[in-house]
Amino acid sequence: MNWEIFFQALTSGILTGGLFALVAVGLTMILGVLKIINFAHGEFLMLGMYMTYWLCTLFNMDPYLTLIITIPAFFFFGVIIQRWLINPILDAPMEIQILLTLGLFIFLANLAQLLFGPHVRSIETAYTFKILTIGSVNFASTRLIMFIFAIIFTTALYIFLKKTDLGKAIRACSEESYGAMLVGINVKRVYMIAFGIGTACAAAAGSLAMPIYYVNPHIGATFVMTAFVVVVLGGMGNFMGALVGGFIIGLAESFGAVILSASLKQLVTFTIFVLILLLRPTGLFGTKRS
Amino acid sequence: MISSKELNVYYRQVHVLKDISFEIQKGEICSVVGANGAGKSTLINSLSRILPLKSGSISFNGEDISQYPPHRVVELGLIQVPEGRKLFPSLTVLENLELGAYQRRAKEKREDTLREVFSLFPILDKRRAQLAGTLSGGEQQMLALGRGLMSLPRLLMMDEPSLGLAPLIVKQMFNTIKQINVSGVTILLVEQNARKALAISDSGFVIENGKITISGKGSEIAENEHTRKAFLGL
Amino acid sequence: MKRYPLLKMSFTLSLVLIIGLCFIFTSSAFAAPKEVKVGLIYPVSGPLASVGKRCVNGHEYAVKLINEQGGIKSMGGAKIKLIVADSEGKPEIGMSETEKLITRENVAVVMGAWQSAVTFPTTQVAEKYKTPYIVPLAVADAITERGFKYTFRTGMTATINANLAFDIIKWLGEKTGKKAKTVAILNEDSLWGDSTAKTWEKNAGNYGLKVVGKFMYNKAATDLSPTITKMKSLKPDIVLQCAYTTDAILITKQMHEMDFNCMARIPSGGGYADPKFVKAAGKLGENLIVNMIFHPSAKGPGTKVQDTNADYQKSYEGEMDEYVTTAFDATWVLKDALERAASADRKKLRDAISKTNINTNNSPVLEAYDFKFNEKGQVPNPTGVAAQIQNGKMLAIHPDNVAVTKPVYPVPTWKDRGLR
Ligand SMILES: Nc1ncnc2c1ncn2[C@@H]1O[C@H](COP(=O)(O)OP(=O)(O)O)[C@@H](O)[C@H]1O
Ligand SMILES: [Mg+2]
Repeated sequence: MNWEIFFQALTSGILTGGLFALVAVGLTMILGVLKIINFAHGEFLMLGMYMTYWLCTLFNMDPYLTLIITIPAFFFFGVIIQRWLINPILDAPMEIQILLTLGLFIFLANLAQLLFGPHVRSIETAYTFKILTIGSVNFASTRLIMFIFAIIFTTALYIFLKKTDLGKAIRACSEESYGAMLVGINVKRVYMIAFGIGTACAAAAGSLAMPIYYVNPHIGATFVMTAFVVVVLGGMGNFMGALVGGFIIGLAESFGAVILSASLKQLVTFTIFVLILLLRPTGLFGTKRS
Repeated sequence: MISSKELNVYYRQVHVLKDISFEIQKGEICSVVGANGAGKSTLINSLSRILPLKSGSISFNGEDISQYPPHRVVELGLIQVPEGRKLFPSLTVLENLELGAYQRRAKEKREDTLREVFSLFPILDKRRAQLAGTLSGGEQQMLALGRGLMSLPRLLMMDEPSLGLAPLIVKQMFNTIKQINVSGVTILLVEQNARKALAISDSGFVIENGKITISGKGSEIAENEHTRKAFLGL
Repeated sequence: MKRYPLLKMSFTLSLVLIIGLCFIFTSSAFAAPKEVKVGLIYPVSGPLASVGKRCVNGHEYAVKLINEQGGIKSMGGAKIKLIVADSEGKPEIGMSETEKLITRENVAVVMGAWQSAVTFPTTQVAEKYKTPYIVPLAVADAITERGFKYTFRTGMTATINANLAFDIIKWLGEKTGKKAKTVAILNEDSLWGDSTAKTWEKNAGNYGLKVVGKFMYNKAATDLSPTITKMKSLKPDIVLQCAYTTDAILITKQMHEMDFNCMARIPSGGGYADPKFVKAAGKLGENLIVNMIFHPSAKGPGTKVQDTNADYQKSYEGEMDEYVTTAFDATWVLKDALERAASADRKKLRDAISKTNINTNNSPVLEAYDFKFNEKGQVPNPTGVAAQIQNGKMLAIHPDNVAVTKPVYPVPTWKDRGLR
């Protein structure tokens, strides 16, 4: 591996890692607060991609401008799903919850297939042809913009969780929902907000990815498999863990592709997954819970 | 201040509280005495509106709260300091306290209340940036109590506050409870340490198998033949 | 803390599942008298559904023509009835679905399955049940190398297809005087990509080409820029590729991103032959040369290809690409065999298929070669079409007898095209 390839792999890994982090942050938020494994997370991302696709195609909107529609739209979509689908089964056994989110996953994927067909779609924008070059390292402007937005969103979310009362209430619910109830937090409302935020993160990631990738009804699974690994790596429900984990996996896949083969980069990811489960099941940032 | 009529509460099929009726006057300290598993925590959680009622009603300050969700009860000033503290371990001491004043009424006076809580428990001030999970048992209990006070309680329900604390700290805890009461907060106290609890109480009642068997003034209960044998170890 | 009755929860759950299942299972099985049941196995759901459905369209369209023209005359005008099973793109599902087609639906013959990885085990199932299986398109050589009596392939093998790429390179060199010396191979890692890549690696030397690098990836990849950078450092003249649609789009975008240039990329059909690719790649796809099994821009005898293609588009979305056409041609091969067998009996039908001898010029088949089978069940000399995207349109450039335009070669760099 020469330096040119090294720096390219480094850049690619970091840029892609930003996207993984944003997807994983949403997933880990839902996991941490609601203690629910949301298998439908990737489908929210897929639907976010479609929303951006259609807004760009039909109304000629700038793909990044669509964020001001996707984010609130999917926040409310998440709130509704939480209110009507997840809330009723929050106290149900884990298997039921898994079945529900799996069912939702299948439903949304097939709904997209029904509505939009199985074809791949992709958008061409003014940004598509803008490539940035630093030394020997090339990257698409869309990739950099995606990275910057992903960092802005995760940072904003971090500040929101750390500094605002609602953010603290969300963390309180994730830690000790019973205690949260006793200090007068409307826990169900917080659950709706948390699910809304998680969903909006996935959809925003979808919007950001749309100018780079392509969308079809099955793209969700591609990203969310990685996101699950990131979440486990960072510690289930751990925000910082998801953020750092996103970059670790981004870099691992990138260097895995160069050192081994692109065919084996998933292998690298899942090797990390298994090692973490064996050696540190609580994840890098997770703490033991009684 | 608070009263209940014919409360019946179940865990699924298990009938835990049976026809509970009682009343606590404003400004009192009222002790609930009973063996392990008698239903004391269940009663407190019913009053906090966390558990569903099968039948009966609860009235707080003349308002029927039987159908209220837990957060509305908190807004009214009916506050619980739960058994096992239920703190937010990876939030800081300060954040735990701030969350105590989450409801609007308490939030408006948050800074003032915070100052009062810190003067009551100076150790919490010293540890304000520390994570709650890293505090000692006694400090955690102080934090739980402090968090309850941050909610500006009108009635403070404490579920076994002395559980697992060293004797010296238990003594301090009872002093603090009296101090809080003197400042105008009505108190409902559930204690393993029935003798100490009854000693500072104006009134009390005994729960056995989910039923109130004896009720009256604190001193009457402490002198009752049955309670002396069953709960006071005399 | 049970606030919701179990009933309500299970109701909500069932609702979601039932609605979900409704979308997954869409089957049709209404029996009609005097018909020959033909099973199709393709990925009609899942990420590969886009291609799977076009294969099904090709069969359907041919069956429509056959039935309109009076069905199988030797069987009293029996109509062909297609039963479509969904492989979901997965070998194990393909196997169980093929078994169901044969045992439950009792089909006379099976056709499919496009992906070599699915065709391989499903032909084995058909062999077990002594049911003829016609493979229109699935290129792994091994499919017809196992001594099976019931498997017939009307299309390419990977070896023939791979060597076509070298023919194209050689032809481009001779035509323009710019000879390529080195190739890099970039392929997805399923059986199709792997076997094609291995053939390229093995045979490149025979054509005076040096393989400077071989790269594999999984088609679910989300970022191939490190791989492309590595390939860039090897400076190959030609990149030979096997890709499905989604990875074809990703690679095209990222080659642009990494400023990867070469004399030409010559992918082997697959995703690059998908019209959705041409659309999705937009300007970035311009001047790409695709080594295809068929393309409707190719000249046929008279106006046969154009007329059929135009008629097809009255009922279906998209053109008669290689997926549609190979399926279409295979269905005519079956029709021809049914006429001669005058029976839907599997054994008789098998014998009739093995004796196929169709001349492309006086038959409805569109591909420009004659259909007959060697003892392995393989059409011996299939030909293909190389097409180049010119001004956003795929146009046949090779071989000369089907070409409609001249090649642009070497392909200009991204910079020369004003894209960087
Ligand atoms: N979540 C629960 N589910 C079922 N039964 C419970 C639950 N919590 C408490 N119980 C039962 O209810 C009864 C009263 O418990 P509790 O109110 O905790 O007693 P105390 O606080 O007086 O020790 C006990 O028999 C206990 O086993
Ligand atoms: Mg208790």
